[in-house]
Amino acid sequence: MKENLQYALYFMLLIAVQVLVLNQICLFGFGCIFLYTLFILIYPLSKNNQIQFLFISFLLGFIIDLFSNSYGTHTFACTLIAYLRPHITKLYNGADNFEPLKKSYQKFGGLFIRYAVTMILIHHFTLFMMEAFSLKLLPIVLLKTLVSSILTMIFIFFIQSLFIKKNAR
Amino acid sequence: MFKFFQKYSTFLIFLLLESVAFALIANQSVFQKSLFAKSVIEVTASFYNTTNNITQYFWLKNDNKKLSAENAELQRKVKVLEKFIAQKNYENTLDGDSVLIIIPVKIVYKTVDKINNYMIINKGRKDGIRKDMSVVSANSVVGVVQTVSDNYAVVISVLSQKLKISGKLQKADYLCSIFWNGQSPRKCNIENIPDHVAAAVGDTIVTSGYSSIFPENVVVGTIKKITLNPSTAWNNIEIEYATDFMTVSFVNVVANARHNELNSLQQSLE
Repeated sequence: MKENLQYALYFMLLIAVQVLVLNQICLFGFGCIFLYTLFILIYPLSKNNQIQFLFISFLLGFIIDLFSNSYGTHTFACTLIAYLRPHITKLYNGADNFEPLKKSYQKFGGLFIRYAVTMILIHHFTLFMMEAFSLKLLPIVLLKTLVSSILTMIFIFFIQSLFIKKNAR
Repeated sequence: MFKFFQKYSTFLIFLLLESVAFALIANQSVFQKSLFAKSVIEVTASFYNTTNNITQYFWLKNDNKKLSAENAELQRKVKVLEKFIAQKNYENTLDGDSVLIIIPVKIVYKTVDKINNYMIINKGRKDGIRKDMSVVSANSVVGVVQTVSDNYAVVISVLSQKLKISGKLQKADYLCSIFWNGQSPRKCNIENIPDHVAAAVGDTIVTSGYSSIFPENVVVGTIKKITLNPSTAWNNIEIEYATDFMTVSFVNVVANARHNELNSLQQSLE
């Protein structure tokens, strides 16, 4: 119960930060920061709550969409990585692993980075591709994906390292 | 059968959710017309309006500079026109089509880094804003009103794949269509100006006024670079926008008073 409440708080906090601050920032006309994806990365996923997780991710994307006038693009990208998450962890972890990756930054280190980078790249690419909605713009989509993914990753690792230091003490 | 659903329930729900999201993306125009969209705009816009009321103080200096430059330009024009009117019988110079509605608005939120950019302005239906009205800054293009709620409106920026402007080369009166390339918020392209039309770097591109959205002779930008495509004998022309989309904040919604009449006439033709 306490954990549920904690994640509900993260949910709202990440949306607020995304909408209030990060949506107003754009670097070099290319770089967007989608910190809210952190929620999908750290949500404690187990075998029983996969469907619930899909719905939560859908809702997360939908709320971001409402505030960004972007229709279903965030919703689509969020639901996709939420579904792919166990498959990606399996890919890097060997076993059919649903272990919460909340504190895995310190536990796994490089493994978490690889997992996060894969998820973010898929999310950003899907997002920009759905937004462009045409193959003609593929070079721009790829460039935006690359620049934005790097920015999002920097933010995620920065937040993660702050959070984990606090926990370790 | 039931076992099948149980086994693949996650995947099926995933498919269901993705198709809902996809339907939202594919049916944007239906969504825009919905009542839901209007209430969403009302909520998000009032939210951005509050944040804008705080952050606008940081840009006051810049905004003031721009407004006073605009003011100076307008006063210069008034002087010229006064002279002009004094010399001529003004009734002959009044163009029958130039009955314009001008509503000054403030942009409370905008994007420039998306593939389809948009803005939210602080006036809506109650102030007379309607769908498809044009948004103009000083005398350069900004966008087109897309969805209107009671107190706010969403404007599609010209920095969008969804908007094609009908323009013309000012000095030659040659028609062309202008589209944004999705890259820099400062540049856009024209393709259909043939080689024999003598376009030069520095020439001004204005709106043609043929679509009912933008009035005639609103500046789009100036030609920055011309490269000949040898296989087609058409020029690829790069324009720099006259509007600085990074800093634009006070704009005008401009509409032809006969906008509705023109629109219904066009629709009856189609």
